[in-house]
Amino acid sequence: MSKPVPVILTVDDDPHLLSIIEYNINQWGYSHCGVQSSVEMWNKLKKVIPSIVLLDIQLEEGNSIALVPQLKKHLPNVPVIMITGHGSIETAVKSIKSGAYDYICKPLDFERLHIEVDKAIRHNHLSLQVRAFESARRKTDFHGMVGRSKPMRNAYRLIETVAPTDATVLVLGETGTGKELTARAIHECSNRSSGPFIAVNAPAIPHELIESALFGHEKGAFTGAYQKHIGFCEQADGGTLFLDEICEMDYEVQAKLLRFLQSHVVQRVGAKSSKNVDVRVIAATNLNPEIQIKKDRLRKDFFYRLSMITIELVPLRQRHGDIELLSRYFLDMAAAKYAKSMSSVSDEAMKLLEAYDWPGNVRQLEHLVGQAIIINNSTQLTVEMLPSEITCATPNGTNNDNRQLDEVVKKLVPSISEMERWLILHALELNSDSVPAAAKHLGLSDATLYRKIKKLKISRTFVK
Amino acid sequence: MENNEKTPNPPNQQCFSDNSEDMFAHLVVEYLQDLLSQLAVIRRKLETSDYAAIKKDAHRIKGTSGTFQLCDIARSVAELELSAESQDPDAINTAIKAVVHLVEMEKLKRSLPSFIDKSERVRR
Repeated sequence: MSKPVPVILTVDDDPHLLSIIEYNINQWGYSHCGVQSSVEMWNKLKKVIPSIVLLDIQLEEGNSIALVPQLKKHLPNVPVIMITGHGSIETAVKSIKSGAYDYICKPLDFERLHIEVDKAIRHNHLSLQVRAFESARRKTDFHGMVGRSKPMRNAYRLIETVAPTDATVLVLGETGTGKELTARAIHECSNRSSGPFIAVNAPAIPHELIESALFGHEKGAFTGAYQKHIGFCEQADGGTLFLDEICEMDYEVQAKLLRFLQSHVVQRVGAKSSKNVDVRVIAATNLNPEIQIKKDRLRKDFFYRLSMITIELVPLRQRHGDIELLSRYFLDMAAAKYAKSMSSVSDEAMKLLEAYDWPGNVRQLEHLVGQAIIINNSTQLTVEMLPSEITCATPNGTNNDNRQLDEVVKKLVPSISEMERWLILHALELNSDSVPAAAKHLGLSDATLYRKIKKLKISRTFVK
Repeated sequence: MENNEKTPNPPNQQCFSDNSEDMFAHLVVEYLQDLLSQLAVIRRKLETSDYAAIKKDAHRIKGTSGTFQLCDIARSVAELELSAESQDPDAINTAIKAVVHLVEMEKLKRSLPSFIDKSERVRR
């Protein structure tokens, strides 16, 4: 879909001049509205928001300079270009002082006017974008983070508490929950905020280059090292180093980073000397560290060193009330980015967004809103613009198919008491109904097994 | 200041094919036609010695005719504006006549191609 066609409003009391301007503006691919007086202009502005106003300095009703501040108040982002006759340049300069964007002299040179109009339209788009970004930024609740749910408020409090310290922080959370944003917020709230924030996404760096990327190398240190390279650890000197997806790092690299965390000393590959650096490390993973330690994917000592403080970010489905705030925030951001006018979400669409379980979390919501804005020119995000995975989801957020599968699984999985009963009967059978032997088999005391047999009402002829 | 004169009628909205030259030519012819009415209005203003209004009208016509690339007319109207400023009725009258003459000439020049075209067809 194409962008909306910019509308140019011309105010001039000569209808012939309006018609020749319209003829040219249409040739340039823009839309045109012509009016002959200020009264007509205000009436038109009730229905149309132009991208530019071309205003004749001398209207039938008098000088139009006084209209400029009023127009700027009404439409702060819309550039006003004054049209002036020869000999009234001084007046044109006055109009610029009162807020006009530029002026152009009569007789109109349409080539020049075309350049001026294009320039003013770009100016209009840029100022709209800046305003929208500012408005979106004002909607953030904590250093670029959006959300007022209880888990988010707790996270903000924790960030504020740990930020002024130099403690290493481990941020845990599903993919798309805002781990890097959290790390940035810690950096911004810390005394290191004027220093660098270096984010390292380990899986994105080739295995053989990771050490050199982290610690740097000297020229000629290895084949292909044509230039000296300062590693991320050194680049972050005086600031914060954010290590994302730490479980994806090689065991050996983890060991080297552990040494770095303990000593704060960097030695570039191939260097003869080392350097002390002042770096705070924040790490993140979307995996369960305990499980990764058991699987030998994460060094236990590295984990303990990193997790002086742990911040756990909850998935979006558990952040009640934040989906609406985030949707509006992403809508503002994307509308500004793509110069679209979509500014709201219909009630029905919002209900569906809130009911969905968001496996991709905040990032998934951001992409969905961005996609809706790119491919639609409407002013409102409606149900029709949502993908089927959201429109087909049931009120508890799961897909219909998944829900049916859950029901089947529920029937298949026995309860603990059923399992206990089955285990006891099985043990008794294996041990010829001898309770002491079955108890030994199950790792229970005789008394405990007797109590369970009684509780579960198991009736057999037991051998005591 | 007397500004009670009727503003010129807006150009007729007419559908054209994608030929933008036709559209431009049509706008110029319409303007020339209306310019004669505007000059008649100026003449009436001269009868009441409303020099300020004449100057204002001449200033407007100068800008619009120049924008239509009717340079001779624009130059002549500039003289009319100067005459109005100096409040010289004879000079104004002469200037009006000169502008009317130029407008008629321009109209004739623009109607010639279609006149020749029609004559050619009649001859055939």
